[in-house]
Formats: sequence, C-alpha cells, structure tokens
Amino acid sequence: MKKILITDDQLEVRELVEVTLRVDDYTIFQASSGEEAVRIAETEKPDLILMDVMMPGGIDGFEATRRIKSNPELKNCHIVILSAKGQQIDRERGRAAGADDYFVKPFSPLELITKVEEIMG
Amino acid sequence: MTGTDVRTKGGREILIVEDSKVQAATLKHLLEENGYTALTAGNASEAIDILCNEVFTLIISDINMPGMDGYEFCQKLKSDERYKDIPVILLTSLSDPTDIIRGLQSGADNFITKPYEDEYLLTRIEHLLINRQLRKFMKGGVALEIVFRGEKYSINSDRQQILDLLISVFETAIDKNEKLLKTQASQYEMIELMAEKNIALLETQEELQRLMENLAIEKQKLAEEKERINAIIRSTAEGIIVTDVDQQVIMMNRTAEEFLGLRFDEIANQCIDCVINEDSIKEKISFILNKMKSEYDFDFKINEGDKNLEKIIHGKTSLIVDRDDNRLGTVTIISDVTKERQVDIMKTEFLSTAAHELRTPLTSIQGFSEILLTRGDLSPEDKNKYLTYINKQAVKLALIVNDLLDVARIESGQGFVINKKICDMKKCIEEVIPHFTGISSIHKIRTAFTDKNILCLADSDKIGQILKNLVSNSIKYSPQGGEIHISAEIKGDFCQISVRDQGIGMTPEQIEKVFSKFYRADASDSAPEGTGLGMTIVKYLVEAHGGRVRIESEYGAWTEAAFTIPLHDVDKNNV
Repeated sequence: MKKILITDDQLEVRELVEVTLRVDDYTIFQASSGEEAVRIAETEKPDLILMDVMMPGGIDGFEATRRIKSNPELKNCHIVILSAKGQQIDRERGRAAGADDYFVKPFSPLELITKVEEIMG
Repeated sequence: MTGTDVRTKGGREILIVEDSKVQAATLKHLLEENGYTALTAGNASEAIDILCNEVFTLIISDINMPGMDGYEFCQKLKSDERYKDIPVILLTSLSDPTDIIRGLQSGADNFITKPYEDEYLLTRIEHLLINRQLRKFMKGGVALEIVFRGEKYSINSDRQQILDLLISVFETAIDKNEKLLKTQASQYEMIELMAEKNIALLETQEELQRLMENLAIEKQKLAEEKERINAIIRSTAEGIIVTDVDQQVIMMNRTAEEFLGLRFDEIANQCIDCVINEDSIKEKISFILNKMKSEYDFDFKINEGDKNLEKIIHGKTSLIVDRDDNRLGTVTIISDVTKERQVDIMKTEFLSTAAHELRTPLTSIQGFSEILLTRGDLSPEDKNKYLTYINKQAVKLALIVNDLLDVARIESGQGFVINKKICDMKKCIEEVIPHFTGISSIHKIRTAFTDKNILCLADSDKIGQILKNLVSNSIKYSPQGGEIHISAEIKGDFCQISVRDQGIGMTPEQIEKVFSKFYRADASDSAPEGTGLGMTIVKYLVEAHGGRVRIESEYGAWTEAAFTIPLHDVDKNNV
C-alpha cells in the first residue's frame, strides 16, 4: 500500500485531506510541523507528501521540502505543496525547494483526488 | 656790397632788424615773395653797419633786442641826416601805452603789433611807402611836448608821421578790438554751447544716475530673488544635484550633501564620476545625457549593511532644457523613502498574510462542504463534525474580516463608535475568559483583582475586543503553554489591566514596532498565524477611551501587555 504523509499545522486541514483521500487505499500519516514531517518522511519513506507552507516552529514547508529532497533515500518521494500562499513568487520558492507540484488553498477535494491518483497511478 | 643801384631803383629794399633768426627769416621770405628785397641784421649796430653801405626804402625793426633796443635804434636813425627819411616800422607787442609814446619819441613811422597777419603787414608797408612820397612835400613842424602819466615826452616827428603812427595804432586797436569782440562773441557762443552741452550733459548724467539707480534696484531684486531661490533649494527636504552637460556637478543642496556624505564646496565643478560613489546616479545621469531617456526613476541604498543608518533613497533624474530645447545638464532629486518602502513591504506582506488568513478558514469551509455534498458514505457523526468545522471556520473568517474592516476604518480616519457606559472592569475580564476555554489545553488563564469594584466609563464590547486580542496573542506567542495572568488594579485615576504570559517574549526592537500597522513580530512562514492588525486595533481602542497601552517583555521568558482606562468616579471606586 502506498504511503501518503499529510503535513499541516491545522488539525482540520489534515482531517480534510485524510477524508478526501480515504476513498482509495493509502496508508496515511499526519505531521503537524515541518520538523515532524521530516522525521516521519525519514522513517516511513512515503510515496507522496502533501506539504503546508506556513507552520509555526521554525521549519516551514519549504525548508522541510528542501531537507527531505536532500536526503538521497527520499529523492523519489513526490512532494505537493498545499499552501494558502498562491503568488507566483511562492510557487517559485516551492520549485526551488524541490517540490514537484503546487496546490493553492482553498482547494477542491475532487481536484486533489484526481491529482493524487495521477501521481500515484 | 655790389648792386646797390639796382636795388635802390625799385625803391623796394627793406632792412629787417631782428634778433630772432627764425622770425627774421620768416619775415624776409614773406617780403621777398611779395616783390621786395630784404636784408636782415641780428641787432641795431649790425644794421647801422649795413646802412653805411646799402640804401633802403624801409626799415622794419624789432624793439627788444640785445644791446641797442628798437626805440634807441630808431631815434638814432631819425637824428642822422643820412637815414632820417627812411621810414621805420617798429614791431611791438603794444602791451603798454608807453610803447606808443616811446615810439613817437623815437620818431618811428609806424607800428606793427606782433603777432601780425601777413596781409596786414604788407598793406601797412605799401601804405607807408606811398605816404613817404607825400610826406616829402609836407615837411616842417615843431617839436611837440606831451605829458603822459606824469612824464614829459618831446616828440619831433612831423604831423603826417604822428598821424600815420596814431592811425596805425588806432587801426591795430580796432583790429584787436574786433578780434576781441569776435573772440568774445565766439566765446559767448562757446559758453552758450557749453551751457547747452552742460545742460544736456547734466540731463544725461541725471538719466544715467536714474539708470544706475534702477540698475542697482534691479540688481538688488535679482540678488534677493536669487537668494530666495537658493534658500528654497537649500532648505528643500529633497536632495538636489545639478550637473552640466559635461556631467560636472554645478549645484548640490544640503540634503543631497547629507545623503551622499559630500560637501559641495569640495566637489564643485568636478566630474560626477570622480565624486559620487553611487553608481545608479552616475549611470542615470550619463544615460540621460546620452539621450537614452529624458527621465529616470530609481531606488538605491545608502549606508548599506548598517541597520541603524541604512536608508532607501529614491532618485529621479531629468534633463534640463532651455526654451529652445538646448540641453543644459541634468537635475537629480533624491529623497528618503525608507519609511514608504517599509510600508510598501509591510502592505505587500499584509496582503499576502491577509489572503493566507482568509484562505485558511476557506479551505475548511470549501473542502468540508464539498465532501458533505459529494460523499454518501459519511456517518451522521462525521457529518456533524464537518458541519461544526465549517461553522467554526466561518466564525473565524468573520472575525478576520471584522479585523480588516476595523483597520480600514482606522486607516480612513472614520474610527469606531464608542458607546461608553459605566461598567465593571472585573466583569469585562470574567466575560472574556469563557471565550478561550477549549481553545488550548496547555494554557491556564488566571485572574487577580486588588479592588472590589473597578468602575469605568467604557464600551464593554470594545474592552472585550481588546482583552480577546491580548489573550489570543499571549496564547499564540507562548507555544509551550503556561499561565496567562490577567490582573486589574486602580492606579491613580485609571484602571490598569495587564495580560502577562510565559511565552517566547519579544526583543526591544519588536516591541518598538508592535503597534505599527501590518507588523507581525515574526513575519516568516513558520510564524504563528495572524493578520498583524490586532495590536493596531488595540492601541486605537484604548486611546479612543482616553487610556494608554504599553508592552513589556523579557525575550525568551515573558511578555506583559498593559492598558489603562479612565475610572468613572475616583471617589466611588475607593469605597
């Protein structure tokens, strides 16, 4: 079973993503900070990470992405940024950090499923 | 001497007795040109020698001569039988009437005054020669004695001779008088002319004087005008740098000196390349002079790297052209836009933050509502849970929108309507606490009141808004949890309410900026959420009540926000 890591500081958003993805068979992990995301990524080696950007605690989503992508064991992990920051400059920063895709909040759960299935398919 | 006969024949031989060789030669030349023969003698005795050998029709003699003078010489001739019939003309300046007496005494036949006109002299000579012929027949007469100026003179000359002499003197006198009159007339004319000229001159002078005065006034005005323009330029808050077409700095005001760290008098007329370090200014000026563009807007930094002195300067360079479109140089206006740029950055950050803050609740609302609408597999519990999320986030969204509207109202100067009523601050605080229950399990809110009643004239809703802002800040900035202590006490005429946490604290720099609009203590992506408007609203609301707000903090340990609200009635509060 493929593994998906949901990273967001807000419980409700994590739950929303989880509920959205429940229709397919994925093992879902949750992280509430950048630091936690890096830790879980290293232990679980997920196939996909949905990454929020603005999170308290010193390591934001971009930094977490950079750290995960710099780990050779995790370089095939697909990272989708899921952020309320939607400006061009934010997308560029995401790309620079190594993210594979960028989704802007608020998002449509249906669109997210389609995207995830496309990636995992 | 030979040829005497030939000379006497014509009767036109003249002897000139004159000590001045130049005058003798001149006179000789004049006479010879007019058909006379003339001999010259340098003095009387030489003349007497010549007379021994030669026969003359006429003698012209000067008066003032070394040795024997003209009078003596004449007298000598007249008393000598051999020569007494030769007419003698004395050349005199006639400066003294005695000259005439002495002339008569000496038996002179005529006077010619010096200086003489050639024509007059020749006429006189001619006249004398004719009269001499007449006189030969009218000889005889007695010596005449006259007294002149107390002196007695004896005159032996005959009547004709005296008449000749007197007439000649009279003629001379008339002539002189005429000349004098003429001279006088011409002098009068001259004087008149001069007077006219003088008047004209005076008028011109006056005109000049007026012109000079006007010029001086104009000059003064110009100087004043120039000084005024200079003062304006000097005192302008914007920096001004002017160059000529060769890029030499020809003017710079005080502000520009300060911004660029230069002194104009040290760099005047030097090329901008040599004196201004700021590349962007040099570049724009040369672009403009090379006709690449006629105006440039640009920003540059000064004192870069020094946090306290770093400034963002905006420059605007444009071409200076005269009325005929000739390029005269460039003018660059520079101004400190540090604050504006900071506000710009804050506004941009605010927009992005505000968008983020609005999107976060919207994510839940849009996501869960779509799930509820599209998924049929949800349990009633799940449905209820998602509806609760949606509701909670909608409320949060409304609060954010309210914050934004509040700030917009403060910004536009409209402000809030404060409905002041007597209310107990303790009650206000107690009403706020339930709002935070269930929000955090790691924070504990405690209250402490020193007085029984703390009655203030205040808008309890607004006091609640202030407290909610402060408490939520305390929760937000103490992620490790801890105690949040709310206290209220009477201090003078005010009630002071403090909210203190055990959070991450603030640096002095952060405290300084905390009340500026859009400021967030931590604007990074890993910062706690918030629009950065809360403290702006708090400050406005407290001040609208007549109170003050302050922040104290120890970085890494605690933060205390305190505000004051004026008491309703000092006496009653103390009962």
